Amino acid sequence: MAWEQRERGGLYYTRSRRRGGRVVREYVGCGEAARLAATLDAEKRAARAADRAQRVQERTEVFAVEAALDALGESLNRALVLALGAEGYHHHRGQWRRSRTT
Amino acid sequence: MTARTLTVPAGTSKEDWETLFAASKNVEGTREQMRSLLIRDPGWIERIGTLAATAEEAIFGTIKGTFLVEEAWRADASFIRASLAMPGDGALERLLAERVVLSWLALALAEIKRADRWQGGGSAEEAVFWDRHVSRLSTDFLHASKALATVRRLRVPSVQINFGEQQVNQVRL
Repeated sequence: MAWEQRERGGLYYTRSRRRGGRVVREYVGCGEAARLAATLDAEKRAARAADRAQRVQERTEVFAVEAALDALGESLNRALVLALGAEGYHHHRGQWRRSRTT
Repeated sequence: MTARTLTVPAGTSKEDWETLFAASKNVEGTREQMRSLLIRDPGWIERIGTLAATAEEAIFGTIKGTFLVEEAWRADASFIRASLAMPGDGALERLLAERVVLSWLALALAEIKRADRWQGGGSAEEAVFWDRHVSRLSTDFLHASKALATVRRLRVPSVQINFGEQQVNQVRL
């Protein structure tokens, strides 16, 4: 989004958009209407940026939850193997079995 | 990971202070000192925060509502924690039950968030992200429940009945 300086000194508000892989400049206008359009565009950009930041924050939190649960799960699995092993059990093809000798 | 406040008891030596401070700043070479401090005084494990406490904080950190909402979830988690407890539970059962509570909590919150995103008409990439997250938490919850159930089942007292010299039957009560 830009204000373009014209040869006769006036400011002209333009928008650049990507259409079919090409950047196309759209001429909006000048004066009060252009200022209003520029303000609305700026608000839309700010809202999109805030939305993106929120998504990034949300994903960071999601990864933190997954990492914390993974760490807890791994350490508990180790504790489970040690505790049941000490009680005479062993893990065999997804099942816990008690050794015949115990 | 959310920030935690560490309460340092009176009488902590200068060396331990320095080790804790250096470890909190990820200073190179302090990992071994930190390990020996935790072995020497296991009380620090509780003070610094267990893995379960860290997971709980991470999960509650995802709630974007008022205290009312957060406290309602905390009360719900406490209720489930209490309902999973059984007389005679050891440390392992308590920890496994805690994992069930935390994974259930994370799953419930993630499902609500996913539903919110669907209402907002999110992108396909976002839908895949939340589906994958919910699916992963669902698997976690099932594994946690299975581990607790396995330990509960194996630790039930058993009675062994022998018939004759060869035949051995085991009956679980």
